[in-house]
Amino acid sequence: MVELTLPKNSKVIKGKVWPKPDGAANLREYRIYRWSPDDAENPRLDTFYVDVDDCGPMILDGLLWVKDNIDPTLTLRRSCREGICGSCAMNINGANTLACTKGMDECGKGNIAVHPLPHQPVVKDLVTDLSKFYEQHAEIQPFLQSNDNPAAEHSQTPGEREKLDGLYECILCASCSTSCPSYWWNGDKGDENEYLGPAALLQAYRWLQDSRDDERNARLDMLEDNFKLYRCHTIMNCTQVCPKGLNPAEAIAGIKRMLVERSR
Amino acid sequence: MSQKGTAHFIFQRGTALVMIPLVIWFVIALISHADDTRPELMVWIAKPWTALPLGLLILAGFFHMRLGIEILIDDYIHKPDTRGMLLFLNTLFALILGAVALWSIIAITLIV
Repeated sequence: MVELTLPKNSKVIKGKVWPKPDGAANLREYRIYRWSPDDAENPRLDTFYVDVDDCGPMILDGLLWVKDNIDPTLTLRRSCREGICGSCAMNINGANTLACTKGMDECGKGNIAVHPLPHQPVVKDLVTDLSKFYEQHAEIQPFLQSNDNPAAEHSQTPGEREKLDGLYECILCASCSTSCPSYWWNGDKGDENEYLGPAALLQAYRWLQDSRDDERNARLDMLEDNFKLYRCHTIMNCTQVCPKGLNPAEAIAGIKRMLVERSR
Repeated sequence: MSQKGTAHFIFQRGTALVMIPLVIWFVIALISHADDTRPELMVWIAKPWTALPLGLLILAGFFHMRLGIEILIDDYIHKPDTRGMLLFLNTLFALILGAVALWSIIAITLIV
């Protein structure tokens, strides 16, 4: 059976409340998930008070302010701080998104809860191990496979190129896949009966739609599987949370449509 | 073992589509026959224009049920042996229930 409750050592306990910074007029309360592999402690939610007059407006700015001014051991991934690299994907107030493009003002008036991406092994604090996610991306062979060998580039009409809009922009932040209940249950079982998840399937559809690619049938053969593809039950969390505004659910429906048309 | 899922996908939607008019008809018919006595109801069921759609509803309904429960088993039961056994029992359950329901209609048409 799937695990419906957390193991004992994964239960999140109340953490430390760090003191408010001196002289700060405008504070924002952050509750941040903390866990370290270096001790046997359970994960905990630490409370920090961020001086919003002393940092930028985004959630990531607040996290970096905490790291710089309160607790330098707070661990998180970040790089571009402008929604391009996908490194700072995390669960903010219950929804996966990028900390760098989510404003504190978008999080209401209350405290801001920051957790790592759900259902992934935690490396430390807000950093998760996405190895499986990348393996699944590799499985769909996300590269051009063409029998043509043109002297210059592979050409496309503007219409053919337009078909890739809304697909190629994925930054592999894993927000979609790790928000999907089907992916939680069937994404990492360790056997061949695994769901690929919305991110990998969005990219699979991107290559299925590419007019230059000659492996459409082989790609569809690989995807035609009860578990790899058909664990998607159109829950739509993926589309709801995608920080780039993409629609993986529609792409998955597109793959299913192609398979139905092929089976006629 | 890798299993293809497109046929399952098509059948699930196909049976759902077939059931939309049949369920509407069935609900309206049930309401309009709510005050019937048992013999009156049996006479109604034995009519070809009742028995035929009712049989179709039973076939589509139990097939759809089998397909739906199969998804639940695939989603939540991870041990291959247990899953295989439950999938078999699911099919058996749907077959037995469907057969009993169909036989009931045939029996009524023979009796009346």
